[in-house]
Amino acid sequence: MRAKAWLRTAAVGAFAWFALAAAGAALAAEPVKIGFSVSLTGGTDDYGKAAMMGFKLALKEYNAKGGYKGQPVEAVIYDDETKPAKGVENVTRLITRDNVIAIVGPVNSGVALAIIDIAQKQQITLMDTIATAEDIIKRYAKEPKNYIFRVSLNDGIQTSFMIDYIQKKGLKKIGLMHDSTGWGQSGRDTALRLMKEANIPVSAGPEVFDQNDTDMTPQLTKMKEANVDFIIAYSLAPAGVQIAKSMQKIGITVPWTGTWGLLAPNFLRLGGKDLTNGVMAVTSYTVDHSENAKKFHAWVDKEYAGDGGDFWPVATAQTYDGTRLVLRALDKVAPDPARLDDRAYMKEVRQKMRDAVENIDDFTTAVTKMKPRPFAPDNHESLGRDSGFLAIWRDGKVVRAQ
Amino acid sequence: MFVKIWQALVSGLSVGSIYALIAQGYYVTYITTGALNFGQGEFLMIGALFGVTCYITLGLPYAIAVVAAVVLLSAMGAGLERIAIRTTLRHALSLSWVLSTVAVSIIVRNAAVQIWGPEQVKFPSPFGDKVLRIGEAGIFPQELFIIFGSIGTVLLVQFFLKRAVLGKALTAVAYNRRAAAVMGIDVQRMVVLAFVLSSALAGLGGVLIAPITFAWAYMGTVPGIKAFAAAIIGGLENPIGILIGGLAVGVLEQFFGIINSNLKEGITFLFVLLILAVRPTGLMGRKEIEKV
Repeated sequence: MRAKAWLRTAAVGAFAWFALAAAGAALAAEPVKIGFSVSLTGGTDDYGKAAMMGFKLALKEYNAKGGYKGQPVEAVIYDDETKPAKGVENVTRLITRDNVIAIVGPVNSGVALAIIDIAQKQQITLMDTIATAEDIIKRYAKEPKNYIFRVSLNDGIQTSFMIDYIQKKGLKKIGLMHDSTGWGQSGRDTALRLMKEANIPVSAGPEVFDQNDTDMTPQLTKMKEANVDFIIAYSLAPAGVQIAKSMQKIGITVPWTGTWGLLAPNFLRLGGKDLTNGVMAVTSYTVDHSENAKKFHAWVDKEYAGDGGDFWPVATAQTYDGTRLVLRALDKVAPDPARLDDRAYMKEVRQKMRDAVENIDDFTTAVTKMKPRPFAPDNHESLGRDSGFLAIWRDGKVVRAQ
Repeated sequence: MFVKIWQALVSGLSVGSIYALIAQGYYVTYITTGALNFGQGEFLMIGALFGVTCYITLGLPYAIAVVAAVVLLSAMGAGLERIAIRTTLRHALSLSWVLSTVAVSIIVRNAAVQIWGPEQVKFPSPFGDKVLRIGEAGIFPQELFIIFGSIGTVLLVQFFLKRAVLGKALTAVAYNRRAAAVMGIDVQRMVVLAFVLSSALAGLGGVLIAPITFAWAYMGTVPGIKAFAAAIIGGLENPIGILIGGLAVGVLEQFFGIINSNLKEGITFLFVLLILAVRPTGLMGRKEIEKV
């Protein structure tokens, strides 16, 4: 009798347990997840950290308004350590294990060129909000469906602003130098191509330097001897500081420009106000170019007051806009969260996400200079010829070059 | 043209003197144990970053930061000998010290990333940023200090090895281990001393160059390798050869930079291959005579 009673209790208990578990599963349908893989350590970590602020703010804002069907959208964040192989690993994991609907990232062009193949093949939207290599978008531009999108000024567009400046100022003798990384070399090719098209000869260079070089006097002496009146340098911030220092050493004072890498916060941190004075760089964004940008800048400063505030505004703003485009696409696709575990259904959702991103035409709240319809089937670059300009360092601040 | 060459010479000497300083560290341990610390570059990096902590974070005078870095690196040198060298040199033909010192260097680099982060840190020069003019060539005061500091240190080490009692004991061990032991010299202690001295030189190199290169966790690898190249070119067993080798590598790079900047990085190693083929013991190394 006692044994029977025990058995009955156990059976009731087991039933109750299963029932509860089932109810729990039904209630907590799997949250919708967005992947984020950037460099939080390694060479381009400043970009990654700033991008993460924009990514998190976009999600925070979305979830504060009720999230997706009443549930907060979840972020899955990985660090690619600025290594292409690690980026590939992260993206593979985001697609196969974490079951994300779309991916925002990466920040490094080398990493990006390694992972776009997977995103394209696995048919998942990859929103590049930083990396600038032209090939990131170009590689699959001829495919019926390109899964890669960008909210950043690509190298070619950046260089065309430099050419504009040269033509506007009537500069005649141009020097060209670049670092020896893949990015630097592709920058050199782009510059040579565009200068040829614009009929501007290269008076000195192209000269190459290692990104860890501390003395660029041999390269710059040649510029000096050629009497250049303008220098284009594809250099990240640390080597940029060395260029400025070597220019001081040999006493050459011509204006020079780089891509937006020279606007990175470490350029000022390593170079200081005096050394950076007068150095130019391309940008698409200043914190005061529109009401939206001003408001956003104040918000970032407030939210991250303890972590240096809005320390790299361009990177944060572009990622904020890019992430919001993905979230807007999610609202348009409106998938059923309970079915996201189903692989076939997830595949369909991801395909629809891509189409939705491509067709967004009501994005009027952008903080960057983006049109309400940022993308089109034949254009996955949301920032173009009408979004950028040359900026110049003046007393530790970035202003528009006149 | 003259200005260009003069500038390359001045710039090259300042880079080269650092190679010479680090390479001197290879020499000291090589003659005493036949082993070298392949993590010299990483030790240099620790010197630079610890210098940042002392000079910038704690606000100590530059001279104190230099001394503190040298002391810390001396201790690390002793530790390295205990962990990575003594255990692997039990067998005369053992080459495992190559692996063990490389392993230590990787650990040290990763630890540095954890402690100081992966980013470059500015190390303002205590001598200011105003360019000095030597003839037409420009040079930063810190670079001038590097040249005199490194060459002075190298000569000081030579003086120590030739004149001081402790130094003579070290030289004796280098010359003939067994005879030195018979004469009552504590060989084990001399080996420790060699590694302490070698690491201290790397630490000094770190605080010297940080104002020029910035201080960061990945700063050491390239100078470490270039210094090794300098030692091979000059001759691992000849301290003066190493000094000249270091300066030559620095100047050579700048000269080839003038001719074609694509050559700048590779030229050193091309030169190493050439030397190894023609004179395997280095430009100023003793010629080995093989008796059959």
